[in-house]
Amino acid sequence: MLLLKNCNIFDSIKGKFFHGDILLEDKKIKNIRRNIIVNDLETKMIDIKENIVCPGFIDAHSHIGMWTLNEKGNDANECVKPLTPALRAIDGLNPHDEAFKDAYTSGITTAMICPGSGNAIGGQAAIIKTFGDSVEDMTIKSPAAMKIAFGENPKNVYSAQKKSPSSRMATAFLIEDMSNKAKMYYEEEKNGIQHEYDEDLEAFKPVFRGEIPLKIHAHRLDDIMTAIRIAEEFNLNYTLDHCTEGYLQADYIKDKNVPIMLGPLFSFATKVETKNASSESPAIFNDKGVLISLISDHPFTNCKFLPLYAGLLSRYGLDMIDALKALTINPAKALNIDDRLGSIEEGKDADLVVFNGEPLETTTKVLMTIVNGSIVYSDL
Amino acid sequence: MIGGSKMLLLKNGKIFTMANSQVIYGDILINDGKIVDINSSINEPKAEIIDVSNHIVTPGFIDGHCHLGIVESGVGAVGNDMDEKSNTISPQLIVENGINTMDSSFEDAVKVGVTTVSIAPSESNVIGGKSCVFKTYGNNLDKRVVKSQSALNISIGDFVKRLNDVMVEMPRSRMAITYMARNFLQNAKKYYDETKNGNVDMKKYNEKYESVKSVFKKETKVEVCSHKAGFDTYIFHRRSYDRKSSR
Repeated sequence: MLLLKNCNIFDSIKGKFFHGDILLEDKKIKNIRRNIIVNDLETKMIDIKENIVCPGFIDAHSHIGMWTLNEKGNDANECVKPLTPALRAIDGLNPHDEAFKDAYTSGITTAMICPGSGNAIGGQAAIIKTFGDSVEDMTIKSPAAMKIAFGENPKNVYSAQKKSPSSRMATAFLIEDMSNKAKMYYEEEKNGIQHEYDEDLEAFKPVFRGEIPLKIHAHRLDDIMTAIRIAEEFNLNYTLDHCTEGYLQADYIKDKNVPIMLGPLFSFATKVETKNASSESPAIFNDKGVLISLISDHPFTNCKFLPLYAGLLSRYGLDMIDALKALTINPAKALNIDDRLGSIEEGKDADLVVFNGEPLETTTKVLMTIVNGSIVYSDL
Repeated sequence: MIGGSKMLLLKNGKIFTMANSQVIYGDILINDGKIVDINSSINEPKAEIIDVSNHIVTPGFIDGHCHLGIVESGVGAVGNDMDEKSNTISPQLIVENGINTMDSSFEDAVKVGVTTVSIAPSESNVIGGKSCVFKTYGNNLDKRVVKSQSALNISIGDFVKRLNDVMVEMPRSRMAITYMARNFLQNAKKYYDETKNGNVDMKKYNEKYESVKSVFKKETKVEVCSHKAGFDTYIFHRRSYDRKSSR
């Protein structure tokens, strides 16, 4: 057992700070209240000295461990055919990627890792902890979403190969066509009709069962609209990732009542479809009550700068408390893991981060990171 | 009024001059693009007055190495004019010839306080060309150039390696990168020494060697782009040629 005394605890649900002690046992948060006393030699006690303790941050869209920006470092895109739903992110995951240390030492303890956007249907995303020795050790949920992509990336990849999709029309057609087949496959099986095993259509079963959402890469407004149209046609759950021009029609998107994942916003617009990126977008959506999560899209923004990115958004109208929520409880809800993560509550995973100041301030440092009840980093 | 004002008087600023560690509380008078006076209280009836009470005034920020305007924001491949991949030894290229002053990044730079930038060509060539020092605001490209051909860009590192397995060409290793840079500079120096006292005849004329004469005259610096161990190699170069250098 581990007892953290004298914490200034961030309540990500109420958006407030309160004072208390936190007792951790068996990878979980066992108790939170003032003046916890444990008379037990096995329990290690640490005085947090009124520093701020946050739930471990969640990066809801990342390629950490799958993609490093060097020669042959991309294991997130299998661009030999545009539809690869059978591929799994965890099979491209290197648990020993140095970036994981950057992640947990900057407060990120959970990430959704996903295939890239080179393919119209890239494969199955997973939710992982950023600390662990093996894929099995780190994985929280896999598959956790089906990654699909609209816009420039698939058409650029396949037009260079003189293949389809070479246009947005074809990308939409390919996704719709596979969804049609997958739906038939799912319904035949549900009705006891025999059919030949198909690995791609098999991968869509949890999507049609409503167990996992589509994770939709879309930047330009028309791509976002196409994505919504197709997801609604098949009545599927989905998240809108990047959603770069979404703020231009924020009311329309709000009415869809889906989680949106914003970022990276502080990188150079290498593509036409990202030219209207606005740092004000998170505040615009948040003010309308949309469930926003802030994402690094590592390696496109180094994940260790995700808290910095969230903090700098205060310059563009996003309140510090709302930015903290967008790294904790919001992504936990968006990824359907809020029963386990995203807030400091009894019974949840013991993933905690101690900061020596306001968590998103540029001068603040992480003093300690705890994952599954174990101290994985300490500078106390 | 934004831009174009003849005389401008900033009143009551907290001025970080950066010339020393002092902070001056007072006014700044600007005439025809230049600072003409800094004092605790300046009166100038002809000047437009802006009250900057309670605000900090610093010199415009300078970004010492970037690619603004030569790679354009939100345009994609058509907006990239810094990667001349045809020849890895390209000292004759001049970055001003590829800068788009309409790139929206200049506006972003102005908004966050960056007023001067050193714009470099791509790091994907051993010798990428010559960079220039440039203002981030203004309509006219020529007027925005602070210093043309301010540095010759040499790049030592992974970016330069030609790792295409279909078109096999040099350099594929750091050995070859340095070999190529050294080889070029040796030949250019020889050309410079041979030609500095007389005219060059057409038979001998070499546009690449011509373009780096200013380096040997110590008018143009050498800017070495290096991320790791390459720095030692650069020190070696400097000893060999005794030139001004940066980075």
